Amino acid sequence: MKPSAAARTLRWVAVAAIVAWSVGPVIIGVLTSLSSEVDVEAVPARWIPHHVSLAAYKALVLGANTSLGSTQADSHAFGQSVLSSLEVTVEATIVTMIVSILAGYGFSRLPFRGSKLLLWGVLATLVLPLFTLVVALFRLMVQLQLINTQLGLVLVYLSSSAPLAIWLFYNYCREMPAEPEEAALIDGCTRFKAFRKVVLPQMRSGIAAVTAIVMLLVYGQFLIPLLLGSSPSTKPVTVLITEFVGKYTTNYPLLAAGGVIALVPPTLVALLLNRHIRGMLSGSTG
Amino acid sequence: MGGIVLESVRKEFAGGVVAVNDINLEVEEGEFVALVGPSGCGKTTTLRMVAGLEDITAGTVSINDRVVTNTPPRHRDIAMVFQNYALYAHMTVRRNIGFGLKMAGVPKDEINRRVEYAANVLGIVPLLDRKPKQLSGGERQRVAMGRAMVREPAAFLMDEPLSNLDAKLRVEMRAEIVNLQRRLATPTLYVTHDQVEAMTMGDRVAILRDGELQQVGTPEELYERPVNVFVATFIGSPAMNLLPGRMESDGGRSFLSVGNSRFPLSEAVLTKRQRLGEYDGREVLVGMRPEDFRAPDHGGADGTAVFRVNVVRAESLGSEVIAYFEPAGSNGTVAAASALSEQAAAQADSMQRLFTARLGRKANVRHDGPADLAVDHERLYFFDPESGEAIGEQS
Repeated sequence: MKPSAAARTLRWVAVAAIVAWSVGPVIIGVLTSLSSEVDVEAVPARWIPHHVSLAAYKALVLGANTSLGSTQADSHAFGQSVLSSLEVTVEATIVTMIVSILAGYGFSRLPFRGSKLLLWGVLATLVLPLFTLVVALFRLMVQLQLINTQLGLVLVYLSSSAPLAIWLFYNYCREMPAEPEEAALIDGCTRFKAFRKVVLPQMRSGIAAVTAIVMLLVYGQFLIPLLLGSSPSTKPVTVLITEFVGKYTTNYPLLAAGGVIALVPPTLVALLLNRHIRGMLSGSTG
Repeated sequence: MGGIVLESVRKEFAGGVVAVNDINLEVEEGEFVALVGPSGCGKTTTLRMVAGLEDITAGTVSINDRVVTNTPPRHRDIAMVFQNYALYAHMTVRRNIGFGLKMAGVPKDEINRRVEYAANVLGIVPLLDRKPKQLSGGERQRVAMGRAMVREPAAFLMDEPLSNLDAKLRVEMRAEIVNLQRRLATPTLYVTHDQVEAMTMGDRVAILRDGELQQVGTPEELYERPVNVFVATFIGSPAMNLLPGRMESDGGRSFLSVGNSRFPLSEAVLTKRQRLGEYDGREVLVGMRPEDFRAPDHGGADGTAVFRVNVVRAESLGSEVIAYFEPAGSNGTVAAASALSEQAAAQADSMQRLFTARLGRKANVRHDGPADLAVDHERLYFFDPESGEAIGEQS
């Protein structure tokens, strides 16, 4: 049955609203980053800049002295923060993937006494909001001398993102047919060899999807690095950008340009692995 | 003595569910044994215990004179073909077939030679560089066979390898598997739920029910001398008809009453089934195979039981006619059936609401009409209504 005209219209309106809601800020950000301060501060607001200006980007990337008013744009600090964002994200993702692939597979295929309880225990940590733990985490990190270190951040990200990843892999492995690895066991493999030679390749698309999910989660972290990693060498771009908000004035183009640059890595990840992410979220193991 | 030997093998799952109970089975060198039974009877569990994919609760499994009860699968020297083929999706056919050899450290040239040979035998040479995804069901089946045969193992284990194929291909592959097995002479344990497959492929057939082995024998033995009602009705298609009857003696002769017929049993039958004498004056369960019915001879020869029946439906298949009927006076049948043990009654009820006869294509039977059907006394099967055991098969 074809939907009625009213239903179709309603659907279009709903879709348009959702798209506007999610893409709108990005468009405004891009436009703002290309504006001059004059454009931004004009009253009434100018959504489309009169003069397209790349000054904000130049300031961030080249450290060029541009007419950006009173805000300091330290290109070195910006580059450093982008780099440390990427480093911590990649490190945390690799560690999280290793732990959660093995754990998810183990929980689903190699049950032992108490394994269900342990799994539920791990999953239960998902419901704890991270911010309720920051005070305790801060003291712990200080004691372990891991404050303001990449290792400290990686450990915290691992413990916060692994439960979700373990749960995803647990379900993924449960849906995966067991026979190929059993065939490998009969064909002469040890359990670990069968895992490496047959199970891992079978999990390829799941791994791609969870990698993307974990990367996006870690990359977008703000509160944790603000508290545990705000030294110049660990400060991620999410934290650095907030420093562009001055006490009396804010350089909006600079702020927006930083945001746009920071958007590039997650966008690339999402585009590259989009197919797998969709498959994972819709529950396919293909 | 090589082959596969199971001794008192038992499998109890967590929670106390007994999947397999005290199974003794031997697959001799070069032999093809089909393990058959309804779904959930424990046949796949049995196979997986032989493969080492399932722990054994009690008992021992030996392969090629070596006890392997606690040996990991990789050291059992077996090859297994799975129901869904279990091919390695990320490898080409060539690598799939050669994988076991590679794991065993066989040199590359030798692997190539053996893979090519297997592919030749199975007719899949053009597929060697494809991935499993690009193959049809029958082709995947062949690859799975290839993977098993290149290993030259001490035993083949097959878990319903044909059940995912369409009917025509299944019949073709049946013959191919049997030919291949004969050629390699590797002892083979073949699990299936399809009794036709079991009977046509197996040198011997083992029938399993609720985790218990019912009977092991050649297809002929199972067909001719089933040890109980279960085996009798499981083997043969359409299934054996079961009717309650009563043994009586009158003037030194033994009579059998079935439905509304009463006839003296021939001496030959009584000699062959001596324990039938113990049932004088008692109920028995009488089995008749659909293909043993025929039109009665004129004059009513001795040694033949003739039944008057109501044919409800007759289906002509060209080569034969399948008649579905109820014995005249079947009210008595229903009443008598309720006196049977619960198990036998359930069986009689579920399988035999209508009886079937396979008759020659010229049989003169009509829809919805009476007919006379004859069965030789020698072709009657007798079972104890309480236990379901065959009467007179054992001395």
